[in-house]
Amino acid sequence: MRLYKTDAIVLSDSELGDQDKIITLLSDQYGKIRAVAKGARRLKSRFAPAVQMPSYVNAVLYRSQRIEVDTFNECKINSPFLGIRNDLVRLSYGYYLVELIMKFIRGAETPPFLFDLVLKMLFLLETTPEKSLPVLMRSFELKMLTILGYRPYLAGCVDCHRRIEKSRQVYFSGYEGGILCSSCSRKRVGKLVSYEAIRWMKFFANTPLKKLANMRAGEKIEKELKVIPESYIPHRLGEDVLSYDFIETVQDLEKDGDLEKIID
Amino acid sequence: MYSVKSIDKLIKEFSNLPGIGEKSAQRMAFFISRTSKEYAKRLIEAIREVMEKVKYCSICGSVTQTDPCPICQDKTRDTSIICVVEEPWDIFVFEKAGKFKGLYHVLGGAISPTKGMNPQDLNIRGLMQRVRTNRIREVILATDPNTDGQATALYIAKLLKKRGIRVTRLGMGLPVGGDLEFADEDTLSHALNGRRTM
Ligand SMILES: [Zn+2]
Ligand SMILES: [Zn+2]
Repeated sequence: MRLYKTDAIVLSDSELGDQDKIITLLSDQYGKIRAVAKGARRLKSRFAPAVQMPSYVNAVLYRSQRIEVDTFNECKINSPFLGIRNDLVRLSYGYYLVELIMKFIRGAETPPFLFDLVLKMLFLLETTPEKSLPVLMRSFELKMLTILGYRPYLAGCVDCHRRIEKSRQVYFSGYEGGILCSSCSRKRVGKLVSYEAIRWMKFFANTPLKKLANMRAGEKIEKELKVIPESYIPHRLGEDVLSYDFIETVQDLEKDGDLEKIID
Repeated sequence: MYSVKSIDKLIKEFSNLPGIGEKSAQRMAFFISRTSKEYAKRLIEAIREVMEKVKYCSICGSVTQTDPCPICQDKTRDTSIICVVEEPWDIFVFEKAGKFKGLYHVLGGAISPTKGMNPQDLNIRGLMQRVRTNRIREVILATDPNTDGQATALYIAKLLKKRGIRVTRLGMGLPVGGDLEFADEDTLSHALNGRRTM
């Protein structure tokens, strides 16, 4: 294979020498691609406008036998996602989304349905009312984890497999990979969550993203569901998702009270 | 494998420089090994001088030999307008274009959450302090026209607007993508004139 054409999502870039950039892309057919965009650091580069995270592009790439990175031949923008790039809150979610993909997809293969899911999520990130973004992201995370084979175990206790009854306490363990009953939680580390939160998790895992456009689970539940990005995902990855903090930083900024704390 | 210890050491140091790969580092090290003693002395001296004499301006954060830097000390400049840039060398680009007569503020990078660069890692605190203690009419956000630069501009704009300060962003003529340091004088003057309120 020498020249090939593919639709792709721009995930990240890094500088290469004085003039060039190495771009990481996600494609459906060719998995994660690393490619040199010649001259992309220059202002009048023909590639620079297209290789901006998280743009959806159509690229013609050259694959050489000798080196492991490809080279851009052409790059057209399908959708620049300016609605994300020009809005701080949406952009903070965009960074997080892109980092999840960067870290979960290691090789040259994208699992079936993942590319479509990411693309759908980007379009929704542009249009979904801001208040529904946390819920939308939780649903995306659960769907992505399902596709990757990392869906949290919610049918019963991970340890003893007993069904969780509504009247009993439920624990969620990022480390163990799902819920724990109250007796197993004594020997395993878990976080107390409400029965409702578990029901919402199941709902978000199974409901199409676009149906969540005006959804809220309520402040209490949404806070509980943060165990997914804050504990479950880092445990599956074996590392932190750095940009998660930025979502929180931006949320703090939105609230007036925290302004002085940030500045002083 | 054949190697010369001292040269290997130099190659390793050179390859830590930005934009220098192993091949270039090798060429540079072998060049040094063959160069005249005088050249090598001048190079060592130049590095030493930078280490000893160059510091950061305590007001704007730019590199300078005097603190405050000559621009911050210049009485003829408009102190009511601050142009915020990512790196000290962006100032050189603006000064070369010669159209901007206000003061600068160097952030020391851009927000890049996936790379672990967060607002707390930038000199935003210093900017807010300047805005609070001086009469500032306008802040121009001249971060790079790429996604990270935009994130940085959006973040700072939000902080400043809460304090009722006019915030503008470089505009017209500045294409999306690319690094500001590559802007020529015309492009920069256009972008400065065409700046839009955020
Ligand atoms: Zn159990
Ligand atoms: Zn200064």
